[in-house]
Amino acid sequence: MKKLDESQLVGKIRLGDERALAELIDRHQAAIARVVVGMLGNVPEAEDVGQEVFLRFWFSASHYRHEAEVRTYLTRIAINLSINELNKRKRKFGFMLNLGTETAEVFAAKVDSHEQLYSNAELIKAALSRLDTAHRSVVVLRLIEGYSTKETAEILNLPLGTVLSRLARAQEKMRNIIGKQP
Amino acid sequence: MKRSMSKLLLKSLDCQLDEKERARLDKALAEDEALRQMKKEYELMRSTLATFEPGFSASFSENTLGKLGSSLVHHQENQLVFRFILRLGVSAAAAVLILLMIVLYKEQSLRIDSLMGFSGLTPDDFDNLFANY
Repeated sequence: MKKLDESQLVGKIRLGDERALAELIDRHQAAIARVVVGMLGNVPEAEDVGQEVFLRFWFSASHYRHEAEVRTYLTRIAINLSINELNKRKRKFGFMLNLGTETAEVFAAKVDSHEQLYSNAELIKAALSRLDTAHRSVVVLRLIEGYSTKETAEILNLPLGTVLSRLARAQEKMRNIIGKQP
Repeated sequence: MKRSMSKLLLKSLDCQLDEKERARLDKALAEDEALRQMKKEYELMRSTLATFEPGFSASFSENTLGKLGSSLVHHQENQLVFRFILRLGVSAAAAVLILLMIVLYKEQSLRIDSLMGFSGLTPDDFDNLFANY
């Protein structure tokens, strides 16, 4: 398939062209993986949620109005589905919430200096997994996915001030978690 | 280190500070080693998060299209059921409408006794009707 722009691709998806969906998946699966895995952790359900994102887009392509970029639209679906999945997990496991997510201490022994803690990807991921959904979603969109604070506010449908305060709080919490390592 | 300075530091990472705030923060950074260390830690943490590059399995695209295939079958089945129920509903509504029109034509009324077929009957008629049983 020759390189189509996003609106042509969406047009083809609306007509039921599965090859166009495959092309869309190729273009955006990395971004969706960052969002979904950032939210849920590296668990088997993350891939299911990722697939569901593209299926939702397929079935709702007729409602897509090009007001937001396709990536932003997909990200919004990904965030909402991830939050649903986390809520489902919460109902299912209740107090055993940390089941399946690494704890920060597990990786502490692998670093030599205090400063290295803050560049240890595994430790950072573990600290991220300890944040609640509201704070985690802001970190994922702003700091992992690289959206501006304004775009993050639009995707999460929050006021800009709330995004900024959650972002600050989330970073403080993560720094505290990491800083408590021996 | 003042709490307000750490807040200002965090703000500076995501927002443009105004001149006064910038000057306050720069002064505090120059004077406070702990604040400088904090800034370094936040910057390291943020750059590590920015390099976070997880991925789905190699067969992600294929699996999604496979799932789409089964979803489409399911979707078509649902549509068939929906259409069947819709047709049944429309037929039933048409039948009721025709019945009402016949009753209206014959009885010149849609009162309950007309609908039940009792119009023009008196209580004695009922007695006679059930007397044989």
